[in-house]
Amino acid sequence: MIDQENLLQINDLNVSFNTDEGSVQAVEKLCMSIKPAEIVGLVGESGSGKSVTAKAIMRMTARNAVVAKQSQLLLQHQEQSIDIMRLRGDGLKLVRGGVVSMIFQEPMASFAPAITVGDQIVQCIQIHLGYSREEARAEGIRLFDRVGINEPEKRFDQYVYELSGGMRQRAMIAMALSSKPKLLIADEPTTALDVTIQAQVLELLLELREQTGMAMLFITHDLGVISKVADKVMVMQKGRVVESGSVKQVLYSPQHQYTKRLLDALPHLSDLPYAPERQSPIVKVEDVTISYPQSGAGRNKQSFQAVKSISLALPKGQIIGLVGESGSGKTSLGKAILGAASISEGQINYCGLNGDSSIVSNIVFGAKAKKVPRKALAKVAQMVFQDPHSSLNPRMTVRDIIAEPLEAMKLTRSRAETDQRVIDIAKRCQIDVTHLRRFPHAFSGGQRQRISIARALICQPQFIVADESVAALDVSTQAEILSLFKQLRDDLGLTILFISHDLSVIANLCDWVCVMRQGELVEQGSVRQIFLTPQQQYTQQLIAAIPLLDNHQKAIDTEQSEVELLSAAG
Amino acid sequence: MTTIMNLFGRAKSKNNTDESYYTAGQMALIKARFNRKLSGRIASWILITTLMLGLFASFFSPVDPTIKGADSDYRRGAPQMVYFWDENGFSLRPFTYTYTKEGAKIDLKALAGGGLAALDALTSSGALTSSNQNKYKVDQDKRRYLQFFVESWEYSFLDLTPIGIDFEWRTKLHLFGVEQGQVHLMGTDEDGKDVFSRTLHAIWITISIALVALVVKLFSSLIVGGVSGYFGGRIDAVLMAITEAVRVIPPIPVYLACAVALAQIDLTSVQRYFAIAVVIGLLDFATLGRRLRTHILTERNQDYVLAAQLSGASNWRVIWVHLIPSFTSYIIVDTLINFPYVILAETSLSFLGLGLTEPVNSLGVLLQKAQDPDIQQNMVWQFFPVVIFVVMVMAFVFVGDALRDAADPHSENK
Repeated sequence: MIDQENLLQINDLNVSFNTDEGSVQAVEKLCMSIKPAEIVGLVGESGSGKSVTAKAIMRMTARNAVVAKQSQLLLQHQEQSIDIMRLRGDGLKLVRGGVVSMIFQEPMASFAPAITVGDQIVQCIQIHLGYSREEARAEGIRLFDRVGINEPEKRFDQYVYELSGGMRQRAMIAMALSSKPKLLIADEPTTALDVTIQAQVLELLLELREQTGMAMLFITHDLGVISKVADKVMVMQKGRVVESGSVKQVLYSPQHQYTKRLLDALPHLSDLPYAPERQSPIVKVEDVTISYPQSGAGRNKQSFQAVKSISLALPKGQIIGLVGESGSGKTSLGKAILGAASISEGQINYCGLNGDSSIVSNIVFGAKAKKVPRKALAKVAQMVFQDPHSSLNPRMTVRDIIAEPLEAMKLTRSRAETDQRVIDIAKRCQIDVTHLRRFPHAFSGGQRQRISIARALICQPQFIVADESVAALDVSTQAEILSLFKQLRDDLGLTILFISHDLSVIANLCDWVCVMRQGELVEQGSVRQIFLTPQQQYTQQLIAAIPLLDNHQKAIDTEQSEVELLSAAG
Repeated sequence: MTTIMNLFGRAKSKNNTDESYYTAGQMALIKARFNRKLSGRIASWILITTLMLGLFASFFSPVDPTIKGADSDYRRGAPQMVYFWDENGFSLRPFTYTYTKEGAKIDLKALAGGGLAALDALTSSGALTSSNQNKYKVDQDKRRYLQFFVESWEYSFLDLTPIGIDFEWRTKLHLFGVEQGQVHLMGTDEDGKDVFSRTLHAIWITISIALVALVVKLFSSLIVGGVSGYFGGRIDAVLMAITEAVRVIPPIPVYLACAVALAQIDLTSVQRYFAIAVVIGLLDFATLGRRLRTHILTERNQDYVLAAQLSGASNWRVIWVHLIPSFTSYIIVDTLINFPYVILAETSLSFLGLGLTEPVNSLGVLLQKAQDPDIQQNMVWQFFPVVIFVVMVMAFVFVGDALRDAADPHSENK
């Protein structure tokens, strides 16, 4: 029986999946309760079973999923206790956009692309509230207004691709609110958004909770977000709840090893390194502009400038972070440095290469010297990619993948020598050498990324561009790869340009940070400067939007007051 | 040193079964996934059986399918059943009976003397209708026992001369036959040719023509699609414009023109048809070529291609070591799925009288024959090639389908 205070009560939820390899337990003995107007955070890495739990509440689990018979999902509705497991047919509307409603991670993919956003909301209102079309439209526009969409009437008749990312998520929230739900399930609602928009959306959700008294089940992998919104937290790992309690308990005095690991991945602003010694640059980016041809033909041809006249010097032996929101041109710049994007103005100058007889001491290419010295460059500069799945050729063994640069450029004299070098580099990247005969499909994301790093390192480059190289990984794997990068910097004196949108990763890894926005370099400085005393308004916004735990906020405050004191004194 | 050799499997290493999944290449994975699908497995066995029957048609045929082997005593004869027992007793060795055709009983004397009335009586008696010509007498007392591995007409079991090796194995051995006369499992046609044997021989001719058409098609599509996709830009635009232009030409008039043009050259009907198959293949590059182009266009934007370029690999190496292998499974699947369509093209050409014609044994010819109202009414057993055709096309479709699912990495999530 449901406790009178609770809106939703789950007892002993067990979900398993039937796969070709047998039954896989996705959720095990999960118990939770949500009271009205309460926000419960569900934290865990991908595959921990948090989304499956949400789908079980809506009875939308995949076809091969089996929800065990003893599982109880009870919902309080109109003074009655409803067993969600027993709902059939039209009754299911109650948990699907009725009393329970949901917002998704990727609003672009959650709206039908060929129907206007408004029509989809109207349909939703008509089904759940039985309004006429006109009434539903008026209600929908009112909702748009309420979730903070400006010009709601105009936006209402637009298609999803015409809205910006933040607008889309707001529209999604409006749609979820249209049936006046008592429980909102938010599945990673801000993960796909940039930090500044993430902050706005979180604020909106809190505001709505105040106004409507709606409860929320907030699913995310980001503890920082949880600390901002949730009242209660449950940490899930491999289908089990390993820790639960109030936000204060869990985040400030974590008991479980796993929770501690997750917390470690948050930016540690309190112990950021002081500015390292300024080193001579290894690569200079000199007035580089990158433009891509866009729509139009002939004389009307327009070009889009991804990078606008950027000059940058990358200091030797350091990890340089390149931060920016999506579309800021950071990837284009990274590729241009490696000669993989055509430069329309300016040049890249590898001026600080360590002289070795086999290596040209100075490599310059750019708008004037169009031809990229591919082979000379491949020996000194390499790339580690974002997606460990698409960057490894699925038809080659790990050994062949790692040996590719050696074989493509015929750098070794015999197969045995190649094999020996592959083994050496594999050991350095902590790849089990007995796995070298395997194909990439046999590895997890983290291991694949190690393979990708090993490939980049095999011809002993001095410079590496890592493009969002940990973005596709889980927090704990992320930490391992980051420490590998640090180790490589210390052991080999490698210079790494680390491109990321994730400020916590940058804070944990980099020595030097460059901030980009819309193709322009906004600010650069040591990691401590950028995070604690940002100068430009945009950087300040960016830093302020990072969901932080409170004690980290304190670190910022002290640092800022120190700087103020210093400037007052000086 | 040996440890290094061990790691890369160049020295003989202990076989670890757990390791096999991880070290399984693309093809091994496809095979494993394919084997999980029952319909595909069954269809592939059916397909292999039919192909074997076709490839060694002479061995499996009891009767010479050409006019030389025609049974003049048993024209338009019904299928002969094979029995193990009858009223006269049980036999371990299967047998058929001796069938004798009844000659039309026309009383010539009466006809000569009877005048119009006799002629009238003859026509109304039904003795002249074709259905009456199918009558035969079964002599149950004269059993014909099936013999296995019998010697009969000579044929070449394996002939390597066409591919340049001077080797031909001629033999007279056949899987089965009867002691006296011939056995017609599926009856005979109006010339007395054995339908069963003709069908078996037709399978291989049809398949080989389809193979020629597909190989030609594959090459033309690979060239057009590959060049178009890899270089993109202006080359792509021009090639795709040509492709679209070729695509709008209706094929049948082209085939007609080819047939007429080829008629000027002195070719045997099979050679002529091979020539048409080449034309079919050449003109049919549009669909596969376009698909390949799209495939290459997306594939060349994959990170691993960029990774290879950044590793200092030349364009040539990128294409051959990285890009081409990613198409092989796709091409194999596409070819298999297209097989039935090419067979259908062959049959529809024969249907129009453009392709092969009697007396060549091809499924198209036999199918075309089956349209004859005479056959539809009086010799239904000549529909046997239709059954074989449907079975073969279905088998191809199911195998192709299962292969496509197996080759598609997303199918594992279903």
